[in-house]
Amino acid sequence: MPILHSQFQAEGKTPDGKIIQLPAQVGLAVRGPLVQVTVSLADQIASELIKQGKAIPPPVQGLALIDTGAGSTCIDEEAAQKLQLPVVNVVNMASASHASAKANVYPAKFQITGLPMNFNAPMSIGAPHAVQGLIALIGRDVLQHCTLIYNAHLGQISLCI
Amino acid sequence: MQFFAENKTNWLKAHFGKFVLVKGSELIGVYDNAETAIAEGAKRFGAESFLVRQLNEEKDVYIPALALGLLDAHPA
Repeated sequence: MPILHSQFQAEGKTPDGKIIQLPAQVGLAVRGPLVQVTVSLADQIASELIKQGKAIPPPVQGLALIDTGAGSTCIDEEAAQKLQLPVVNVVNMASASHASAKANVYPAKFQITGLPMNFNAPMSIGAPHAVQGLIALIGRDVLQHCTLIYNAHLGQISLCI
Repeated sequence: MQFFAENKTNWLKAHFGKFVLVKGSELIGVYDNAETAIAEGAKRFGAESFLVRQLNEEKDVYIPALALGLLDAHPA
């Protein structure tokens, strides 16, 4: 079973402006459990486009946050547009501060760098993540197939699918 | 969406828990899971948009990190 071990790094500034390395546990605490991912068209769509002789948009790479609080995986709306993912549903996204908003749902495929496998997230919810430097939130629809160890003391996560 | 809304009550009775594939004003089929419905939609419509929706009591999607703005949160 493939296992990804990831240790986090972070930098900070001293009062005199000098950049210093922070302990790994601080990096993990500040940024959260991040993984590098490549996002592309879901297999079902890609294989049909290939059959039809159509071009497949190149995959998009970025950081994804493993979010055990998210029931569904979310994809950055801008990345979904770049990948020309078709909209397959529209959902109401609840908000604490205002009325729920409509969000598109896209069929996407993810590869986590360091794990030799892909997984389809056929109902990924579009949301604006780019402002946080993220391309996706990995939610429990994907995590249901995973074992995740969050080692705060060492600033490490281990993920296996 | 309108076609789905008009027919949802009947479809719920007949196919509760399943996934419908709809394009425009046509019900293409009813499937056990989203993957199969999307595969059929892709086969018929390529990368055009189509609707795949589960027949259940719909609730708002709640993603706490987004709803509460926690992704932007930093210590004061």
